[in-house]
Amino acid sequence: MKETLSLVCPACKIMLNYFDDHLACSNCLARYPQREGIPSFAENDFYWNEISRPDMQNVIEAAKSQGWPSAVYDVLNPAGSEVHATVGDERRADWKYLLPLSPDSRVLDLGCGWGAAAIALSQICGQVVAMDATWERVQFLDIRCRQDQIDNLYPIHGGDTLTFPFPDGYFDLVVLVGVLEWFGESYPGLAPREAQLKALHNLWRLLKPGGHLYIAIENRFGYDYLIGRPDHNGIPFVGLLPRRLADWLSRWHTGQPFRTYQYSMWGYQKLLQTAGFDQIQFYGDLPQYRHPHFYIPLKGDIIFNYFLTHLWELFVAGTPERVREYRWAFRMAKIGVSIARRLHLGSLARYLVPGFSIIAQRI
Amino acid sequence: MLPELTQRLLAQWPNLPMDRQRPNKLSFLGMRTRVEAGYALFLAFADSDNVPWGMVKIARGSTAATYLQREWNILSHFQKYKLDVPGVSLPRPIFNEVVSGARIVVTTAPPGQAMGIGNSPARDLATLADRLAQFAYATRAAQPAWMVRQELKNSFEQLGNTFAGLSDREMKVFEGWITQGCEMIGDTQTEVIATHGNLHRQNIWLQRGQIAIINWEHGDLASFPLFDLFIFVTTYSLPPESRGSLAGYLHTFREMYFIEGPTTDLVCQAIVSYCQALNFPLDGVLSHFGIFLAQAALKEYEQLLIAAERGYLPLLRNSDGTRRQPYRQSIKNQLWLNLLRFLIKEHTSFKLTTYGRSQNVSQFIVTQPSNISAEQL
Repeated sequence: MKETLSLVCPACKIMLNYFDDHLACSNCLARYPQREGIPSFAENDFYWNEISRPDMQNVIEAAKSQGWPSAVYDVLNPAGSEVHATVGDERRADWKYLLPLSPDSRVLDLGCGWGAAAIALSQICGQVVAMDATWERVQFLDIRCRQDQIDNLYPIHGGDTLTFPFPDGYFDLVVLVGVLEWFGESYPGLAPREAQLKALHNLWRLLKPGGHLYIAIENRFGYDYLIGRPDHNGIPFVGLLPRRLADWLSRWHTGQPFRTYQYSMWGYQKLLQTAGFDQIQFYGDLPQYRHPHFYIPLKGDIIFNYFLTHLWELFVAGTPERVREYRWAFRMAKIGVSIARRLHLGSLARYLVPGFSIIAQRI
Repeated sequence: MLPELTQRLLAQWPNLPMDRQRPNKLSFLGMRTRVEAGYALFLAFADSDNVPWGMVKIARGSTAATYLQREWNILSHFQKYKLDVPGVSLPRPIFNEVVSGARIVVTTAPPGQAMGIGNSPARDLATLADRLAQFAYATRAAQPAWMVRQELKNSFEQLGNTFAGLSDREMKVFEGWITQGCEMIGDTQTEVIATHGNLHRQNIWLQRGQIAIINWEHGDLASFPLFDLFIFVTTYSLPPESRGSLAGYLHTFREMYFIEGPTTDLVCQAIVSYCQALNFPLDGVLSHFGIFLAQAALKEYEQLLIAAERGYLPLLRNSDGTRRQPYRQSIKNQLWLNLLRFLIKEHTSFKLTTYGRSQNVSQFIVTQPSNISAEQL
């Protein structure tokens, strides 16, 4: 039997009361609907996904009638795409082993997507709350939980506001995979960095003292960006430019401001410290944080050098899918690393990894 | 989980079989493993060492925990009996406990680096045949003949039950190989050896003339000779692009075993050298190769099922290599079964038994020290 999740009013932090089809705050009288039994705090009808909304509806219908694996592998039928790995590959969340988690741990996965990380976390943690602003993805995750009889995972619809429906000091871990850069986009009333800082500080408050924040995100100066991989707004090299110039270029190209801020290792360190975090550790995610094959500690260059001299072959070998997807990046990286090693500059390569896993602590 | 493991390891350090002083801190480098492996892998670095001292495997579920326990048992067995094979090093088991609800096994890390992508097939194959023969020689043991015969017959039954799509003709040819295999077994007892069970090149690390063989979770202390060498040669020549593509596999398989060319010669040379070293009759190779493919098919089927149950799409493609199949068909249409079918279809042109140049590689590699120098590796 699934326990009821303790939720608070995002506005006044008073415990919410559960009713048949909604939750209500006894203080400010705000009501939050429950859609198909899932609490919804979203303020907008937001949709972001790897597939279109009608396709997603088909997947959900198939998941209800045929079971979620069949929906993903037979109906979604991701020919040539990697959606199935995004949905089902628990190895994407192997960073969880780097954290002090136990069957007593309580975790929030904010921006959980299809829920692969949340499912992986539910196997080793006591309670996992998975929150996403796209209703259909939360709905799919809920179906998957019911069918797999996962009773310690709670899908929640929301995350498009800077306030969260949880008590302060509630979680041992908060997870942001591919989310931090979007806070600027989601809150146009604030400068991008301010929006990121505000969200981070609010998440800091949700953590217990000693709790951890895990962030997976791109490196602003990653080698893939340096060789022309487009930024989140579709423009190559834009993230490398000074922010004002990037904003001007983005408006000129797309008509939209540049708000998806990413940073270097130092930039993230500074951002997190400003938000109140401490004990910040960096790992280089290769070939990319969304589907990492290696997590390389970036403190000092010894382990990174070991990777270059002993494990590089394994990295280059990859899987056929990865080799195809990253064909050019692999070739350029190989040439770059080869030149760097000849010039004895191999250790500089760690500053150019395409993405980071960042672990920070609330002391 | 790793922070708690670190605390436990550092606390127990004096009582663990370590050849290094207690460090102040440990760092971990994460490496992705195959879906079917079922565990997460980390290399452990102590203080500011520039090479790892340990390999940490964390089981994702109960099946993987069983496999890790099996690896632990086998490595402990080798350790207990002080197995010493020239040119071959094995991980030393260090720690095996449940930490935060997950089975964790720690062994020493292999020295050197993983075998590359087949830049020197001649050297790699010759080295492997040599080292594996020495390993087989060191771990050989006698087993009652009836037990081995029964195992062969079980393979036949399991294959029929698992893969209903096999034709009568295919089953008949396979049955012939089983019968031949049974006839080759002695009356009362036969020789078995320890096998790794999953010896593709990522599990072999090289350093200065030594090979280190890692990942023993599919190992067996009493198995058929040739299994490991067959796994190695059937997976060795596959470039990364063709891995996962059935068409690529079948093409490479055909090149290796049915067409006379440089690769065929090298593979045959390695197999013939190995058989001669162990005094294993060459005319039994086809039969054993067929049985090996069937056993590999059954093993793969089991692993794919486990992977599918955990929500993974088996990484297989249609024979045109372009479009994914629905996952249930993928399981049915898996790699080793297709190789077995191909061998059955083409077995009259299988080259190994008629290989005419074996006298050129008749060097007896077990009783003599290896002639492969460190520089060559």
